[in-house]
Amino acid sequence: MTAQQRLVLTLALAFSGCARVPAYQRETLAHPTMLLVGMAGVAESHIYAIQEGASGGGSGAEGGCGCN
Amino acid sequence: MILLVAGKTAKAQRLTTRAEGEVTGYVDSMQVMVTSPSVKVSVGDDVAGWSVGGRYLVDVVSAASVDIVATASPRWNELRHVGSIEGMYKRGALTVGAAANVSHEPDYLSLGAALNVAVDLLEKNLTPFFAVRYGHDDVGRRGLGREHWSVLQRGGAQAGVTFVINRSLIASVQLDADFERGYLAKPYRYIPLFAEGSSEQVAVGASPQIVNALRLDERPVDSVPDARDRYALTGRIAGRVRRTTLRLDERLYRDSWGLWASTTDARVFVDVGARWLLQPHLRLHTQSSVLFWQRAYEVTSTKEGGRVVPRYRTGDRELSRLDTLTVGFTSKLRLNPQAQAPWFLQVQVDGAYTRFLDALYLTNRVSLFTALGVSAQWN
Repeated sequence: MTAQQRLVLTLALAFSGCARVPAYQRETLAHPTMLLVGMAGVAESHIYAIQEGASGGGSGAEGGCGCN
Repeated sequence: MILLVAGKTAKAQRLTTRAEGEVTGYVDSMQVMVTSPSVKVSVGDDVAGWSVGGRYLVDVVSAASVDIVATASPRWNELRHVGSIEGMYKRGALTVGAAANVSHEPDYLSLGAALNVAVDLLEKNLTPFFAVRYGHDDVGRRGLGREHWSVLQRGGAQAGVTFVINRSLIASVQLDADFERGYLAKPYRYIPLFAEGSSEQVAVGASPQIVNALRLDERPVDSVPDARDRYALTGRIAGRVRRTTLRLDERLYRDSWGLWASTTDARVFVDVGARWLLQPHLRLHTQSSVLFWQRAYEVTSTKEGGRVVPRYRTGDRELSRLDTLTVGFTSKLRLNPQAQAPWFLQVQVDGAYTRFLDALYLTNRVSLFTALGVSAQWN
């Protein structure tokens, strides 16, 4: 099995359990706590950036570690 | 004429202004203290699908960490100014966003920008998103002329997809790739060196006195490779039942320096009352060291009787093996019942314990992060 076939199979399996929810049934999904954005604020994210050797997984522009 | 004025008034009434003020504090067992006041303002039209905003933040840093104690340097204080602007425009299924930021401190200048795009498909049940970012940093030292500063360039891309699983469950997967080129070392860190075969005497968490007694006189500055490729695969899932939302994030990380990491972040949002949201928080981060990490770097002898210093050496504990457990909560209280102009008070407290498994001077760090914020919205 090639890498492309594996990717297609993985995506197919991942989405196979998903239902198509129409707009009028999205009341729960529209709740503010269901937004899949980074939950840490700017200062909190900055602490993690300094304390952890890993990065990524957030969004937007980052810069100036302030830790040299 | 009346219709024109009425139309303009309706448009003005659709505008939403949001303002936020926050003060955060950080203190740890390494005697580092950071206080960061910030303000954020944004204006947008939810119906027309656009918003613009800006943020200004100041870090007031005071530190006398164990590394500084070990080198008999005085406590230092520093200010960091951060400004950022961002905008978003939504047209049909397409959302485009852009952001730029600048961060300035006496020995560091950072400029960054990012552009992101998202497309709603299948009645918003599937939303692929993409982003690119670029940053340019000038890294210096206090007292060193700008002509001697070093450059660090950062480029990155992100691709992912958000998908609805059912009426109360949503998830996303994203891949981040970031590429750093240039000066990546810590210009203030000097690395103790040890004679060949003597590093075993330097135990984990060895005190500054022991290190100073065993080390050689030579103490070169921190030196790391000038290229680092970083990859992160992040999965997020959020589910809501009655008045509670459970949010779980997992990030798997790997980079070209050989560091791998796993970060698990779990948050529970509980609607305690109509105006009170309580949010317990748990985060576990574990990582390996970079390939060139050594607790105690040894010099090697040449046949000619000379000494060779390791090309790459670092004292940055965040590049060593460590585990961090963070536990805390956020409480968000709506101060007034008016729907047109709600005010919120937010308090956050997070305590963290880090275990350093292969570092000098320390075996652990305890830290406390607090935030107090007030936000308001006007329609």
